[in-house]
Amino acid sequence: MNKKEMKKNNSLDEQLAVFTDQVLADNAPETQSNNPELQELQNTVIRMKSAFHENTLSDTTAKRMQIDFMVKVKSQQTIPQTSALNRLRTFWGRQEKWQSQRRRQRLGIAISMAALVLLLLVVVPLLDTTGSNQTAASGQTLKPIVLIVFGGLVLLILWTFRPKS
Amino acid sequence: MTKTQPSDDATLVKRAKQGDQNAIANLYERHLPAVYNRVRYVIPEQDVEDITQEVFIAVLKSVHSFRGDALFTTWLRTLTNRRIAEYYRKRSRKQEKLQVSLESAENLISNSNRSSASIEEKIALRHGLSQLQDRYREVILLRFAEGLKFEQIAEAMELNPEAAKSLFRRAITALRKNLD
Repeated sequence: MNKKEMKKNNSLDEQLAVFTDQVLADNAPETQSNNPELQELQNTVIRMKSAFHENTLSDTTAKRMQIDFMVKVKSQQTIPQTSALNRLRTFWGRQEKWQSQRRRQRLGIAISMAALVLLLLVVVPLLDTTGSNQTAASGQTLKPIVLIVFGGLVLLILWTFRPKS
Repeated sequence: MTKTQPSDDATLVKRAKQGDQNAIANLYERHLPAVYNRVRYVIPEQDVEDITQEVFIAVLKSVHSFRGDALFTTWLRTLTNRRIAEYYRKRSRKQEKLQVSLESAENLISNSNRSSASIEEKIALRHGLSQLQDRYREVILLRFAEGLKFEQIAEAMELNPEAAKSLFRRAITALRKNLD
């Protein structure tokens, strides 16, 4: 771009800027430039101004939009907190429920096992093979039955206190 | 989105970050006209309010990440432009044309005061603007939609005033070509 062209463009820049300022301030000059290039640009500026001068934001619309927005703000600020809190509560609720169920199961199993051990402590001496032949013989027959019964009891206890979904 | 009272914006942003709803309301009230105007120059009328609200919702969601390195107005313009770009990205060109036709038809029916010619003109200008490169569109929006003076435009776009005027002239030239 030579100096002459630059000067011409600078002049166009300035003239168009001044013209735009005037148009947007509603002080549009009655006559446009004689320069066809500038005139076309001025027409485009006028077209922009004319097309968008209406439907600007009214006070009523602005107020309504602000109210809508603030409702959204409040819901944005409360819903996540509430849901987070609820999620936390649900989580801990589940944890507590699960933990109490587990605690009950463990307690039940522990008590049952303790009862079985006590029962064994009482029954095993009775199954002692030392002593009379009759006792020894009956002990020999009883031993597998007692063991089966104990096994059955253990299984029953485990089944009773099995984790329930 | 004028550049006045930047310290007030900074204070309001600081308070908004702490969840102060009055500060959010103040920021909204202060910047709504500029955002609304910018949006209405490039988005079909029926979507202007929705897109404007979405811009402010985006502000609300990401205000905590605003560090204040730039002016709030600059950041807000970026968010607005991003939302506008997203709006157009979601629509294929075919859908856009259909939307524009529907918009013009609805406007013709709903508003008898406005001529169909003026609606067609607005659609053509919006289309012309959307075809411009970003800097051209930005300088036009700063002057027409936000009403900034060339000195303010120069400051906002980090140019000297002569360069801002030159950019404006080239932008209008490109727009005129798009309208042919």
